[in-house]
Amino acid sequence: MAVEGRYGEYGGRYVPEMLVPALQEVEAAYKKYRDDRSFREELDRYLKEYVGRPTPLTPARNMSEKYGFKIYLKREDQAFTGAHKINNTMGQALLAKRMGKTRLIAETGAGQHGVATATAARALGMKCTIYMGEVDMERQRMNVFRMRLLGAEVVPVRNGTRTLKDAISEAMRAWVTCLDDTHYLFGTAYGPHPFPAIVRDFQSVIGREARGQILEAEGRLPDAVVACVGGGSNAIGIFSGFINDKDVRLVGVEAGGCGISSGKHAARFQTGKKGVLHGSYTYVLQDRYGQILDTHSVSAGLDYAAVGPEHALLRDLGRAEYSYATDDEALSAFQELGMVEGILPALESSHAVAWAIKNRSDFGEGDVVIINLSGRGDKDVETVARHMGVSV
Amino acid sequence: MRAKGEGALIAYITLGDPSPEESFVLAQSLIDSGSVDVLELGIPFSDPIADGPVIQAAVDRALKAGMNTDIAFDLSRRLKKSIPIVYLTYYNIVLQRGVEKFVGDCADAGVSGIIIADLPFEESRDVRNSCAKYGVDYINIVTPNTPPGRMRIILEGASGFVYVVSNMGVTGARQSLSIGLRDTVSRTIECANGVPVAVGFGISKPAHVSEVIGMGADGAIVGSAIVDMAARKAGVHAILGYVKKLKEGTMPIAPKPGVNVS
Repeated sequence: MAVEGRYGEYGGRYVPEMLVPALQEVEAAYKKYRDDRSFREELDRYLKEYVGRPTPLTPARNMSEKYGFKIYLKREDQAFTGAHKINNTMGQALLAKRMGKTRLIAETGAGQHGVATATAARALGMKCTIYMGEVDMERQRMNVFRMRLLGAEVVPVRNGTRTLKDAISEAMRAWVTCLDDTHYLFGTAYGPHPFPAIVRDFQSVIGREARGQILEAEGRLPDAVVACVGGGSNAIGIFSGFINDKDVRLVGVEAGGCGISSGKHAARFQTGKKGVLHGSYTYVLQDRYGQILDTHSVSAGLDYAAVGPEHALLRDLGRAEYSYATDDEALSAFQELGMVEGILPALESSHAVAWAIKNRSDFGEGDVVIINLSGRGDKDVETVARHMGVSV
Repeated sequence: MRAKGEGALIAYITLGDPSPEESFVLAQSLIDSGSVDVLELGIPFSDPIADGPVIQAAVDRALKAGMNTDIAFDLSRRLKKSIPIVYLTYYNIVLQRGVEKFVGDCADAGVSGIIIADLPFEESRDVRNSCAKYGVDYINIVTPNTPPGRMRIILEGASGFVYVVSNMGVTGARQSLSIGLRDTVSRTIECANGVPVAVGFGISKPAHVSEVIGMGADGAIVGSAIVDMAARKAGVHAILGYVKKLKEGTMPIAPKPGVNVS
């Protein structure tokens, strides 16, 4: 990285002046504590005793047999609260505490980051407010209730598309009114510097574990690592464990929604252009004048118009490749993993599973593929039922 | 303005709200009113993170009415300008047109300055360079939490005027101005090298206007309150009556105080 906060030409810090001192404060604190032994020890302790790390690397034996190559699932669905989000929220909440903050605010799409933030806040005795788009609140009702049970205030966002994009805008607006006591716990490897770096570092535990686990299980590195990409935190987390292993194929899977030609998707690398949204310069779905386009995905967690800046660089460098899976493909992968392996993945993660199924001809006997199962599918059961025409 | 013994009233409206043509009429009326000294025109961006609900709603209406940057420049070109016009927008709007083209088009359309709400000093070099090339003022924003050292760096090459954000938050009318504003204004004047200083965010009453002028500011910026009147369909006549009252708040002003305002 030539300039701090930049990934090639991507990243940066495009925010109102009022937020600059706040981001500088977060950056300084992170630099101070990221290598601080007592901070690392405290975080590791929470990850082990509270989050339940390391999460398993599960061989998907039935699917491997069905498709003729070895599939492993990195089980972030087994992390406490049911998704990888908790790795980042414990890290940032501990950081916030060291910064003397007493309150956390966050945005959430699928609700998993909101639940994980509310959980970390409780664990550390902090107050918590979560901003969530009304559309997402409706499709993730259970997670809204979970957040409230954890003592978080959930603020409905009624602006714009009423999804994650507007929840992020609203959380940023709210943050400027309470910088003294509040940390904005950004949920993905996106946003203004230093958030993409902080979130990547806190999620890199996934990649470190997966690398060690696959070496132990197979005695070698995998041929491919596949992960879904919304903002891109679970993907950058697992990729970071293999990024220097040039022979490991890294695949990020975006939300293809109703298909690329329909225009109803969130596949930024397919039809997006370089631009600035929420503080970062990266690939953004926008019209020719720079207005941000509405996105669509069956999974609230991938339903966002921009992608993490480090992914944009990895793509330019050819180090990672980015594809997409449609809603239908993801829904079908959701059901298949349940029926074949007994595991219901989050609809987000189902996109990664769908890619592996769709591209099975790329792999042959003896090949090893790790799919990052970023979260569990419990939260999506209602959505899936609706799509199946089943009432539950 | 100061030589005339009064402060400047800077009025903001969102271009395209509720339709491009209606916003043009309002803009021209404000220019012709004799009460407004600088007109600030917002070019809508779909995700305005520095703005409160009133401006957000105006942006939504404008975009729904088909507003875009091409139309903004067309409207600006058509305005008969007896006062300076400045744009306020967000960086992606500038970026997608091309930084140099955007600034060049400003010069061509008679727009004398630009304010970019989400472009901090560190990321602004390209825009500044283009502004210098085309003779367009790049208007800097400072806030109550901008540290002194940073404020000096930001304002070193200031031109046009300096936009002082009155309080920690987003745009939108408030009942009273923040307690620390006097200090922010005097710190800004100290760093501004004689470039005029105008205060915005939360100003909605003639009393607010005279308060900030009394603090030593050269101007007051009123946005959400005007946009809100337009949204409630108050009519151009009522809006002009309102800005006339606001303008009265700018005069007469006390002699400019020194930097050690107590």
